[in-house]
Amino acid sequence: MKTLQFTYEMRTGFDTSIWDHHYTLKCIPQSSERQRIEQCKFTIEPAGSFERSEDSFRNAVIFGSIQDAHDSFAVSVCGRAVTGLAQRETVRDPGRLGSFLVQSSYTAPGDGLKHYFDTRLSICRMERPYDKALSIMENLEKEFRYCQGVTNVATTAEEAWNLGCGVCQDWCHIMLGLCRMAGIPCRYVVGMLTGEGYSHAWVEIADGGYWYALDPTNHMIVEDEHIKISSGRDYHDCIVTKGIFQGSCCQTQQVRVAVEALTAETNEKAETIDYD
Amino acid sequence: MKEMCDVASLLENSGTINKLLARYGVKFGIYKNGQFKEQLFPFDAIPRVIGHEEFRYLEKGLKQRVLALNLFLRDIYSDKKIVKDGVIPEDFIFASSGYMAECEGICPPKGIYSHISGIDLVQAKDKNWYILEDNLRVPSGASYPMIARGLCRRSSPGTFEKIPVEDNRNYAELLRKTLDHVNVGGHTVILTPGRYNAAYFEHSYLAERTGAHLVSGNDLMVEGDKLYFIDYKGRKETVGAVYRRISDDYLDPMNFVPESLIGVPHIFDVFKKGNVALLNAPGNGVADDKGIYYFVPRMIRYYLDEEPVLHNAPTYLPFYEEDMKYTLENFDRLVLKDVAEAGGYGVVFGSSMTKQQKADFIALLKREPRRFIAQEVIDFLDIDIMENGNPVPRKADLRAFVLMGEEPMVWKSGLTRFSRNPDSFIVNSSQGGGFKDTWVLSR
Repeated sequence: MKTLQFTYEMRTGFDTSIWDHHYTLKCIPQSSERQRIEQCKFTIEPAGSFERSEDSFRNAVIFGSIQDAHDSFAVSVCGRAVTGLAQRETVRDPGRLGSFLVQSSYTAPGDGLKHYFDTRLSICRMERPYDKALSIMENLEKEFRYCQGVTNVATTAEEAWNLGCGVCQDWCHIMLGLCRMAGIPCRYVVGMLTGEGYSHAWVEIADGGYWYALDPTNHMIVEDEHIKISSGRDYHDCIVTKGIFQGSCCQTQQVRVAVEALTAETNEKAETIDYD
Repeated sequence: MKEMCDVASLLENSGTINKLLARYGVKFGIYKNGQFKEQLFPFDAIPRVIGHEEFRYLEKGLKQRVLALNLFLRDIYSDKKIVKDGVIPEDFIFASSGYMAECEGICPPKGIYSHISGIDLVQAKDKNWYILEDNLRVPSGASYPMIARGLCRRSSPGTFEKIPVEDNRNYAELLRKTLDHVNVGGHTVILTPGRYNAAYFEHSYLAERTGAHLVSGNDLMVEGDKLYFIDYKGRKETVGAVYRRISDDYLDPMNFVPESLIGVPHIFDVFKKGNVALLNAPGNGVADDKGIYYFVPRMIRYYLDEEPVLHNAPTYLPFYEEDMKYTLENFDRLVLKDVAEAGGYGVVFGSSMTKQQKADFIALLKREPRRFIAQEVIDFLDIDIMENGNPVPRKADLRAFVLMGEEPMVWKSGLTRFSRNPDSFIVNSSQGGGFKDTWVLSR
C-alpha cells in the first residue's frame, strides 16, 4: 500500500485562434477496490461550459465546449491516491465480459501475430487464464522492445508487432490481441505510474470474476505503483483528452505527469504545496 | 378482378403522376463508382392491394415483432437476460457490428429504442407472407407512397370513391404522435445529412408534414448538457426530440467517427443524460443484424411468451454445425447473405456461381461462418407492373412501417418495391427498382 501524490497536466497551444471548440476529457481517476482517490482537483482553462458524466465503461467523463476564440487549452488534475488496497478488482458486469473478447481494429491480429500465436506461444498446457496471461507477458518481453518515435497513436497491434518495437500503447494492444486469441477477456487501462513523465497504459485480464492488472511494458504485475484513470476495449475508449474545433492552425501539445510516493514526512509538507 | 376496371383511369394518368413526382423531387440518390447520381424513383400505378382481413393478420404479427425487438434492445443494453438464459449465444451480440458498447446502461426516454421500424416482407406463391429483414436504424420509404397517393387521388378521384382504400396520408400524424410521445421537452427536429443523401426528399417532406424543423448538424449545438436549435435570428431553443436521419457512426464526431461533419458534437452525451430523445435510438443495429434475424422468433417466445404470428424465411446459421452441413449440401438452391452488408449488397445465389466462385465462397464460409446466413430462395408471388402499355409480372416486396408510441401502430399502407429486371429478386431502391402504392382495403 502506498500514498501517491499525482499531477497530470496537459497544455495545447494553437498558433492562431480557434473557436467552437468541443472537448471530452477522461482524466479523473476513480476510487475502486484497488485504489482510493483523495483530494482530487481539476482545472480547465479556458473552461467554457462543461458537464460531468460517466461513459459506459464507468470512466469519469467531462464534456464541454468553448465558443469564444482562444489560442491555448490547458487541463490539470492533481490529488492523492492510496494504491495497492487489493490485488484484484471484482468484475461488476459479468454479462458484458464477452465484449472484452472481441478484437478491435487496434488489437485484431494479422498474419504476423497469428503465426506467432499458433507456432511459438505454448500456453495450452495452462489452465488458469491468469497463468496464460502471465506467460503471454513473459514471452512478449523476449520478442518486443520498448522504443519511442517508431509508432504513433494510430498504430495497430499487428503493425507494431511487425516493427518489433513500440511504446506502452503498442505493448498493450499486442498483449490484448494475444489474450483475446487465447479466449481471455481483457481490457486496456490508462493511468499514471510513479516517476514517469507521460501517462501510461497497461492491461487487465479477467479470471474467475476478478480483473487482474498486468503491465507488459514494464514486465510486472501491477501492485501499488500505478494509479488507474480509465479502462476500455482499447486505446480508443480511453483517450485522455480529445477535441474538435473550428480554425486553421498548427497545434503543439505538452503532457506532464508527476507521481511521487509520500512518506509520513513529505505527507505533511504536501499540505502546503499549491497545485495551481 | 373488379378493382382493375376502377384502376383503369389511374393507369391512364400514370405518365402525369410520374412527371409530377419528378417535379416534387421524388428522387433517389445513389453513389456509383464514387459519383453521386440522382435518379427518379419510377412509380408504377398498379397498386398492390392487401385485403382487410389479411392486413389485420399482418398488423398483429408486425406489432408483436416490433414489441419483441424493442424488448430485446432494452435487455441487450442492460441485463442481457436472453443471453444468460442461453436463448441467443453471446457471440452474436458482441461480435455484431451493430452492437455498440457505448450504449450500455443507457435507457432512452420511455424505454423505446426502435420508434420507426421498416419491416420487409414478401409474399410467396403459396400466399404465405415471410419476413425478409427488420430495419431498425434509419428505415426510409414512407414518403413515397404518401405523396404518390395524394397525386393518384387527384388524378383519379373516382377510383377512390369506388374502392374502399384506407387513407395512408395519416403517416405524418402517426409520426408526430411517436415523436411527441418521447419528447423530453422542447422542439422536435428532423436531422438530415443534407441534400446529397439518398432520401433527402423524404426528410424535407416529413418535416413539412409533421411540422418539425428540418435541420442539419450546424443548426444544432450542445451547451452544458442540453441540445439547442439555433434559429435564423441566432436564438437558442431547447430541443426535446431529434428524428435523426444520420447513421450512428456519423451522429456525433466526439463519440463516434471523428471526421463526421454532418453530426452534432456531444449530442450522444446529452442523450445519455436523458435530456433529449433520439429516434431511433443509437445501438439498434444489434437487433437488425442479419445474424440476429434468425433469433427473432425465439425472442418473441422468450419476451412475450407467444408464438410468432409471422414467419421468417427459412434461414440457416452456418455458425451451428448442423446448419453448416445443410448449407453445404444444399448450396445450389440457397441464397447467401453477408450479415454486415445492406441495401441488396453482399447477397449471392448459390445457383448463379461458377465452380471457382463456389469453391472460393465455401472456403470463406468455413473460415468465417458467423459472417453469413443461408436462406431458402422464396418463390415470390409476382405482381404486375406496366411496361410499354402491357402488364408484366415482376418480383416485389413490401416494407411495412411500424411506429412505436404508447402502443405499436402499423401504418395501413407501405412501400411496395419491385425489380424492373425480370430475372432479379433484388428490389432495393439502391439497385434501381421502382415503387408502387400499397392499398389496404378498409372492409
